[in-house]
Amino acid sequence: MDLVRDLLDVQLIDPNQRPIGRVDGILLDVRAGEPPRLAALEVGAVTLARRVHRSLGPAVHRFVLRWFGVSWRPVRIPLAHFGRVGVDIEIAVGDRRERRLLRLETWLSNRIVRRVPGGTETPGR
Amino acid sequence: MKNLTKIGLGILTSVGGYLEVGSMGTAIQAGAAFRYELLWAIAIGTICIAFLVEMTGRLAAVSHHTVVAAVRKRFGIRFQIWPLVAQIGVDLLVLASEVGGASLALELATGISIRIWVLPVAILIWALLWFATFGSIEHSVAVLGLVTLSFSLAAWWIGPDWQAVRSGLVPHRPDRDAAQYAYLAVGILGATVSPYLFTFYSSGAVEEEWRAEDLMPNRIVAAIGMGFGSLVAMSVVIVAAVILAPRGIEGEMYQQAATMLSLPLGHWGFRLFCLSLFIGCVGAALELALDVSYIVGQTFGWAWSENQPPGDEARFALGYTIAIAIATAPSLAGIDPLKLTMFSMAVTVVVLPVLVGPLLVVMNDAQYLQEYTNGWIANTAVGIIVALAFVLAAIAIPLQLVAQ
Repeated sequence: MDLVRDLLDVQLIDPNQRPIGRVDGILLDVRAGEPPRLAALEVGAVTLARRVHRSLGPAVHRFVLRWFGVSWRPVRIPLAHFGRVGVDIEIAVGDRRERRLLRLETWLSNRIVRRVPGGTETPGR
Repeated sequence: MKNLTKIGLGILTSVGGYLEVGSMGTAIQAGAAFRYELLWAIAIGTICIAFLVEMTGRLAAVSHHTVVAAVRKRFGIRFQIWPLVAQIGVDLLVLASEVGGASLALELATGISIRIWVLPVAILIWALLWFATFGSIEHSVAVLGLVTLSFSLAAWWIGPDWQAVRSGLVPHRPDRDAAQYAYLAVGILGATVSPYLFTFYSSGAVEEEWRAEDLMPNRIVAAIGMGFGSLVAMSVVIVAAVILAPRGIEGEMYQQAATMLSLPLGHWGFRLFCLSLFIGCVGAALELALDVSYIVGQTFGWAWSENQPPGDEARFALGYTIAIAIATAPSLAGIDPLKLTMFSMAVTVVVLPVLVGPLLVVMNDAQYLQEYTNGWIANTAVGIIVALAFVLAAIAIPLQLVAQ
């Protein structure tokens, strides 16, 4: 497997086939005298921004901390949670991590979208 | 019957390419200023966009992934950020033109100022997206879009010089006013080969859950959908050539052009013109607002579907909501939708290479397309389109300056 070609930027889906983000970064475990090992995958805007430009990641982190009072850290997903790797990667990360992956979605949904008429209804009903 | 309903996606997609305010505007100007001489630009644009639409539909049917998702995976975020930003920019500009265009259609029909209509139009577009499913939007726009065939009826009715029409389908140099001619040709190509058409179409094919069995319907839908738009656009050119050109009306103002159907179709002609413009603009606006949510959601790997309750996909629903809110600003500020559309077509052409280029790689990726990767014909077509995109990108801005 080629890490950058086969893992980086790949779509992640949960066991219900719901898209929950993409592989925004790869974490390697590097020790002296040993070959580097894949430690975990990272998902999050700060990691993603850092890949666009080195200084953009910290800038996004500072911005969110200052204006929303939240330390928006990337979610790390250890290898143990990985399912089949193909065009997508299926992961079963457990409720707590999935909640963290979807925290922006949940916040926007509860604070804004569900309060608008029709926000909770299936379209066309 | 099930395959027949698929044509709806082709027609909805082509509404955004041919029947929106910018395409209608350039077609009217082309017919009024150069009669049939620019029909070839529509023909070439149609062949290009039909190829691109077929390919991205094939990618979606085989892999259940869209072209944007495949580009993010193959090229990574450091590349993808550029097409993403470029396309959001283009989508917002064109969306703003459509909100203005639909308001203009209402102004023409009622005599009440365009600015009064901007907010109601924006709310209508938002409400349709918030409450309706993808299928119901697709089918209602496709059926209502057939109203625009009144241009084809009128073109046939007034009996143009068919010999001249045929020779207009072959690219040639004009005998006068070369700068304006080239500017309109680039405008037509920019309005037709719009990247949001194929990103939207491939998203629509995933929404409709197309599978590998749908590859033949996909080809037919791409051909019929784009053929339909092309037929209407050419009809607009022909009607403008016969009605407006001899009267010296340049067609730079919709207010003058709106009477072009009145001669062949009587007092119904004016109403049909306003209705066609309104349906075209609202249909295109729905397509563009959805496209913003689609490309953002697909780039970042969020859940995206028009068929889920907004509360289950809050980021998706807020994406089009914010896009529509931003797009109302220019019309509220009194910017002429036709001026805006000329500018957005030039921007589309400039960013086209970065949006079409990646298809050369993605459409040959067997992990996504299995045995359905591009053959030599499709690869040659993409190569030619990319080359054309570079040429257009290089000449668009200088031409706009010269033509003005």
